[in-house]
Amino acid sequence: MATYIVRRLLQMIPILLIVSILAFLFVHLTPGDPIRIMYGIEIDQDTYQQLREREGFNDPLPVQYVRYMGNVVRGDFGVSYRTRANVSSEIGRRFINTFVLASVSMIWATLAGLVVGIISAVKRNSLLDRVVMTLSVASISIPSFWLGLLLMQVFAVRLGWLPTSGIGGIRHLIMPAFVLGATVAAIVARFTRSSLLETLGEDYIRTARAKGQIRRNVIFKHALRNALIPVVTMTGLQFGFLIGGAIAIETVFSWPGLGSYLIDGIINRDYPVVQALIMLFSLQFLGVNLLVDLTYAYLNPQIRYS
Amino acid sequence: MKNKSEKQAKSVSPLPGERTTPGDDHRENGGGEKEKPYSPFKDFVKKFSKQKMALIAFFAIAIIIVVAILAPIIVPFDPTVDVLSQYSQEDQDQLGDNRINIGYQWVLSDGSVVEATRVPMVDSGNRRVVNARGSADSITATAVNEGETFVAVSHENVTNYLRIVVTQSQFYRPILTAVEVTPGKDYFAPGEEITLEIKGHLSDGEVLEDRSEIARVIEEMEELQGSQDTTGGRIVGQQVETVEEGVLGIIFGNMDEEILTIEEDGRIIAAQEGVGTVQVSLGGLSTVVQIPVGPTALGQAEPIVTAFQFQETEAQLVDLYKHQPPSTLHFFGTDHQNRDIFSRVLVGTRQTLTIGFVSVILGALLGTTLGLIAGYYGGRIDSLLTRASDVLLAFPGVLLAIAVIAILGPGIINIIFAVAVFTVPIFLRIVRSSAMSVKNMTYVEAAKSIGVKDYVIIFRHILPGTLSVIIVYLTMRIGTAIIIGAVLSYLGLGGDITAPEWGAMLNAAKDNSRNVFHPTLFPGLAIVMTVLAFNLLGDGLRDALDPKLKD
Repeated sequence: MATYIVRRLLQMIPILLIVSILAFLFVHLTPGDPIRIMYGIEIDQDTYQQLREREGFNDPLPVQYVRYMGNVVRGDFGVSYRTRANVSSEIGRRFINTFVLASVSMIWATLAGLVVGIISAVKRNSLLDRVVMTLSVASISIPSFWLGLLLMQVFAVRLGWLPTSGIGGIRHLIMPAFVLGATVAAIVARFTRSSLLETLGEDYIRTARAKGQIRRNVIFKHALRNALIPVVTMTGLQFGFLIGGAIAIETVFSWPGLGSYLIDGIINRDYPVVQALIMLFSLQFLGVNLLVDLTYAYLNPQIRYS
Repeated sequence: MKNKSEKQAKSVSPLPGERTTPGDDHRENGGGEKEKPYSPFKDFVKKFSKQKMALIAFFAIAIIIVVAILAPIIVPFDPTVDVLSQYSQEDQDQLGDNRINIGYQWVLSDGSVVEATRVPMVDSGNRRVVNARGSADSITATAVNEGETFVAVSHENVTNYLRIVVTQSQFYRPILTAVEVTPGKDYFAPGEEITLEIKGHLSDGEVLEDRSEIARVIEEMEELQGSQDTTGGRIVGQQVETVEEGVLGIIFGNMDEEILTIEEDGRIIAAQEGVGTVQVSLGGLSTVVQIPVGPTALGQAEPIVTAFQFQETEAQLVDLYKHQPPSTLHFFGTDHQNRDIFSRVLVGTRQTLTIGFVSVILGALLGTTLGLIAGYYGGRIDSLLTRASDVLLAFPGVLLAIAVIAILGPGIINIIFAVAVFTVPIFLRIVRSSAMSVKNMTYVEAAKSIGVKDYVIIFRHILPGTLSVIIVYLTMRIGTAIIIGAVLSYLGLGGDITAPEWGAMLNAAKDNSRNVFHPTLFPGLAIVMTVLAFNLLGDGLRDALDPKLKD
């Protein structure tokens, strides 16, 4: 197991390097001169050259890249072109916000998805089952940012129950977390349902019923255990997608997290910000995927990584 | 869900999916149509036509495509320009007014109601809301901006305050526009109790004479607006406040205390000969009337103006300059630049479908080719391609697309490219596994054994076998691609935010979502309908083409 983890971690390094090179190159390949962005368009040629020299843009690209990566390894992502603020500390501040939003969304979505999925499977073809399945089809067709705008209109603007946007208490968290988790909840519910239905059709379930076990025991002790293994994997993978979705939702609700930071960075051509966030997000997804694989191995005794 | 049970029923026999493949191949080899009773296409049509939802979705998509093609011809308004300049006279009549004429007459002391002979003084309390102008027979108010204000109309001592609202909707709860007060009798003798007739004009043109009904309207208005203490006209002179029936509070202001006295309970008693002036304030509106008392007043050569009467007090103005609500003229209303949203949604179909189709087809072409190569050749090239696609698949589509936009810069072409990039690994993966199973079919082996070249085998023999999978995923991915395209342009990464594109429209509506809702609602509904149609069609195709292929 330990060797497997080490191997997976080592495999992440080349991927991260490729991502970092791509992210780095785009500063130098896209139109828009960083010096002009930082100091304005009207600076004269002499100052321009001096600034280029001072900021190190005249060095060969590989030298710049190595210098940049050296700083990154030490946790320094440089300063924002626009605000001159330290990117690392800004990321640190915003990471907490995104983490809180994503975690709360994930927790409610998983719990709700599991409960609803189990009930749907057990009470198959019931009214609830039909409603849930219809909703889960609808949920993948509704852009979550638009759902956010709708809810904002109803609960914040019309009814005034919740604040429209920004960060503050739990009340600020309710709408973004609901919207962000809604799609995941629907997917988890659907997946749990189909997985449990499949398991309930297995021979050993019939055997358990045949030997006189009561239905509740069969479902919770025999079926659920096995049915949940693929659900765990799927749910884990959803976490990555949830963070992707958070980008739009954070912008909708003006949530000061990493997602809105990234979008602002792209729109403002604030390259150090974009560069840092692309690498950070990549690291995050690779980490989540690794965790999912490990959980899967832990839950399913048939799989043993060596 | 009916579909579900049908799906279940079909998955019992896995045969049809497999039969499709050799059938296709026969046709490829020029097998005669007549000798072959089994047609995979007919079989598919038969199965597909059983699925109601998918059929509906199919026709919905057909309509959407037709709309996209014909959009520039069928739009009622130019989607890029303010609609105000595009109105015909008919349209204007339909829309509701942004200008009203309120008829205006004098009530004289001899009891007659006559046309005014002099132009009244007209003053708008807030010229940013309403502009008002008077003529001898009417007061003209023109809407400037959304809001509410008072227009004072006066002639000598007689004054009326009119409340005028400018809304974005014609369908608004009526409010009290004017309080018309007339002395009940022509002349009063000293010591006589004076009764004033009070009428309430509502903004929908209704005139209320019953005081309790007026009270109800005032109460509704107060509920709606909270405790608003803006009042048209300051109360002057002696003030007496009365409460009638627990709700209707009238404030009287007495300006000539020698002539009239007002009791605590609101009764007005004529005290002495002369012309008294009373201000009646009700529901935030005040009216000043003159009350002649005594025989001297009777003997006056010319009757004086005691009060005003109004006609056509539909003081409900509509702000025509932006954010018009949905109406029969603008089905979806107008946006912050007063452009017709319905036209913009129709035209936006083009760009949305372009993003959906082009990006997915691009991604599918590349992904399928790579998938066929990986699946057919296997070995090192396979593991390399699989590894690369696994890395790409580890990232959520939106983030991958955003990263591509970050590198390429905002713009529609770049959005198409960004969506295509994350479509590639999906197709690579499914085509690869499909190709791997088809590769081992006997007919492929046969082709190999007679020395057919690799690329011929791949495109003539393996590709048709994977085609059903490709078609199903193609349909399903278009929905996702449309959503991601909308998200990107909503986030402002689509370049031109003024373009009639659904995501960009939502982005523009975002800043005004606090006040108006229809600019957010309709483009979003358009996205949902389109994506839902593609997803349902994809589901239906999956069930019809390959019952084994399930999530």
